[in-house]
Amino acid sequence: MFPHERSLVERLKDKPFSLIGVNSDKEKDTYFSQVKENGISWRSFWNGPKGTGGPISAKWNVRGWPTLYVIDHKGVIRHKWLGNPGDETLDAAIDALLAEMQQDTKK
Amino acid sequence: MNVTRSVLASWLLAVVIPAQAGQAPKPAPDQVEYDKLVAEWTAAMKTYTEANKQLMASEEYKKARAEKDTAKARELMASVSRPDGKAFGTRALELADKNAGDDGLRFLVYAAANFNDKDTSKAIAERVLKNYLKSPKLGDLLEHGMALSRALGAEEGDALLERVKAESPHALPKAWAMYWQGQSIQQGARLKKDATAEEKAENEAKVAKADALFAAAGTLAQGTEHADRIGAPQFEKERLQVGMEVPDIVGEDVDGVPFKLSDYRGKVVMIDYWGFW
Repeated sequence: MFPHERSLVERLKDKPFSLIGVNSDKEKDTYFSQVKENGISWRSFWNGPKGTGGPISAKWNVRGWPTLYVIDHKGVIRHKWLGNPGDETLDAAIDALLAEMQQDTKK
Repeated sequence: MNVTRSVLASWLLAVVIPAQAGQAPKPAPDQVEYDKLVAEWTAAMKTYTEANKQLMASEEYKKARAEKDTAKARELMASVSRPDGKAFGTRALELADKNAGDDGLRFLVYAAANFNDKDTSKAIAERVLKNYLKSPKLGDLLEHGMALSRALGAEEGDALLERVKAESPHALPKAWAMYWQGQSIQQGARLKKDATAEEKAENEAKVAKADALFAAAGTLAQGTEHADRIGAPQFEKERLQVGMEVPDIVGEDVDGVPFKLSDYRGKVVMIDYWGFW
């Protein structure tokens, strides 16, 4: 998942787009020891010491990893996926929402 | 003889009491055994995780993966042995039996949460029925109800949860029981692509039954420390569907800086639940 997320963030760095993670490693050390070499530049909530049993994923009823939600600029959930839906599906979904946003701001 | 004894006793008191003055009270024996069990399991898991990491980084394993030699990769994986959940489980059960009441229950809770051993889980379920149906702490154990119902199988697992619902005088154990019943019904409600109308109707009935259990569980769990988790299926259904306004997430980033999902309102946002593991 990371290589594509990296290129997505890179490609859209000048667009109104943010990737927000909910990191669910039990130990922050696991995160810090690998974040650089994997080129993770985006911000993540930390799900706490219970890892995948942490409070944020628990409340959102997350049952598999990764789970992805895509939110439009109005704050409406537009897509949700349990598991990676594939690079093309992701790109298309996000590009469409960015275009929609541009349309909206033109009006 | 009596004189000697009392002299000896006062001598002991004189020595022992000052030595203990100012120290924290000695922990109860079961606390010592509990801490020991936890420390040993934690150490064993750490050793296992380290060995696994080393294997993943080894040339031999990387080569097997690169050549898609799954048999070899599996053989290598099997060479790293997991901590013996059964042995730890047996020990936890003995300690639980030695320590009556809620002091004993916590050994079962730890075992259910960590050891992932079928026989241990079955033995835990037996002890629940025998000793802990009315315990206010039963909720701590049923938080790990998945391990129990997997070990018991669908029917026996459901029977156990029914007994909890009927006999526990406390909200949290009942809420967990309904939550797990809902989960198992929901898992059985996966629809095939070419389902007949009859199968579809049957499926809808299952979904409705699971939803009702989740709703009842969520209501019972309100105000408890597990309200969010037990209420999660209902929260997802009512707040996290495509087309709905996203609920906020308030938390801290990995550096400890507080932030909110709503700070990013006005942008297109992808939320990724992830980890390096």
